[in-house]
Amino acid sequence: MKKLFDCNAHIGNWPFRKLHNNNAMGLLRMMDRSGITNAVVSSIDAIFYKNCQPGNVEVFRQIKKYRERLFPFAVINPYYAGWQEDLEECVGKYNIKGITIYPSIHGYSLKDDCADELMVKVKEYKIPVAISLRIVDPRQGHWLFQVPNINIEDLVCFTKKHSEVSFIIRDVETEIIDKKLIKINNCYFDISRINFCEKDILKKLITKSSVDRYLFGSQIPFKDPTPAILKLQLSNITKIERNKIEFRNLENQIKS
Amino acid sequence: MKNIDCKRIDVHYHILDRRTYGWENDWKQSVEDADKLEIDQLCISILPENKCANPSEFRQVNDDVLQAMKDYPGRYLGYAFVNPGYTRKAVEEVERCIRAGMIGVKLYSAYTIDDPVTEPVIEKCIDLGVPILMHAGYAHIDMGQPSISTALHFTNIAKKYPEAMFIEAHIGGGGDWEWSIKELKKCPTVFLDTGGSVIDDGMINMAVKELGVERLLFATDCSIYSGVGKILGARLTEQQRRKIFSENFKNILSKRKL
Repeated sequence: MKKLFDCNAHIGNWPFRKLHNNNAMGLLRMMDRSGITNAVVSSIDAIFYKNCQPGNVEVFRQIKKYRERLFPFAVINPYYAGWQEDLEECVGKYNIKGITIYPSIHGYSLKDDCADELMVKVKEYKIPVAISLRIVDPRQGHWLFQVPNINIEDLVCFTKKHSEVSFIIRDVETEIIDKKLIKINNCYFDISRINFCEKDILKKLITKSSVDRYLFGSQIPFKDPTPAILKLQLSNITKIERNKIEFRNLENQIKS
Repeated sequence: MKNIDCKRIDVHYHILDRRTYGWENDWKQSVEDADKLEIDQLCISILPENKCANPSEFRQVNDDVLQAMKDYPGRYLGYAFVNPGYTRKAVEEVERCIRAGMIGVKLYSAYTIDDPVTEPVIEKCIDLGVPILMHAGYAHIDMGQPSISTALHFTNIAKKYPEAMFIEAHIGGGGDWEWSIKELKKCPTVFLDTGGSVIDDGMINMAVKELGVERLLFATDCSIYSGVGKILGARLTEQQRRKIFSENFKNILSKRKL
């Protein structure tokens, strides 16, 4: 079976819209239907709980039987009490493969000390950090949920400063990759929001940096994964490059 | 117009005008991209920089659309863009463009679709038997377009002109699509285009469930991978997919009276 490894999948409830296939079984159904073999998953509930950990634990419980296909990333809020113990438990007891952070939603900035403190632990555990630049299009946001975007200059400084940490930048636009992040070699990019209106854009980005920096992502179950798969299938790249984006690059991140 | 057996007609696409750098490549590239995604025809309009364009400005972009139709026969179908604020000139321009082979009218957000100023243009479209594609959206934040049409405006105007063929643009254009679909349910004569970059799971299925498959028209609004992918990925029968991809729009095109 051809491998396709998704760096951007989720389990849980989104408070502002009913999601379908948002538990482990549903996610697997959706993956099977579209040919996605493996996925990094994190909790949506944990984004909104003040105390993230019960959201993480719920994801670990649901995916327990499917650990060959689903790889957990814990949502960690370093601005909240007890995150060090939570992270230790996630690594030691639940064998997470990375963490996901949501600075804007969790009320801190990447310039804050707590973000640096989290990176000290991350380096110790040698796990990658996923950062989603947005979850839904702000134009379709809820009237109660208007969150500022992550400051890109802060992101640039932060990822440069913590050069030993691998950052998986999700839901990132072409221009931000191209103009701001492409030279930061410890940043890896989810291709789901790369604008394929421009001819051979993926090829151009790869030529400017390295194919090793790009990862397939679909943001299931928020989104239909078919467009992301189509983009990759129809890109003007070699078979070796495609294989790397489809699964090898993310496998390397998880292993390391 | 050639009667091509099209399998995919994109009812909402834009190309660059001939005063913008790179327009020739854009016209060619758009057709090549369409080939890749098996889109047989692109229904195009050009939006002038000044969205409240004067008659000379809208005539100029429409001339470019006519040229693109000549350069790529059968691949580009044209919409006439007009500003209904210039009543007489707008109506004359609609007539000129449709006689020259265009297939409908494209309106932007200078006025809402139910503003009385648009009525002469709507009546001309009814006379000619052509659709009106209207820029639209609804969000809970300020999108910087005070006169953007929402499904509520379509409801108002569709009551007044039930014989008109209105197309509400891009359900995936970034607004609250659930709100738009629910509101649009009240006006059964309005069509909905599936275009825009938003590819939320369940969006197309909700539209089919609430509005009926006959009211949906495949569109990309230039987000071609998203546009095709969301129709291929939606849980639809092949027959439903065919209707959305082309049959519903062919039915609209068959109403042309000229």
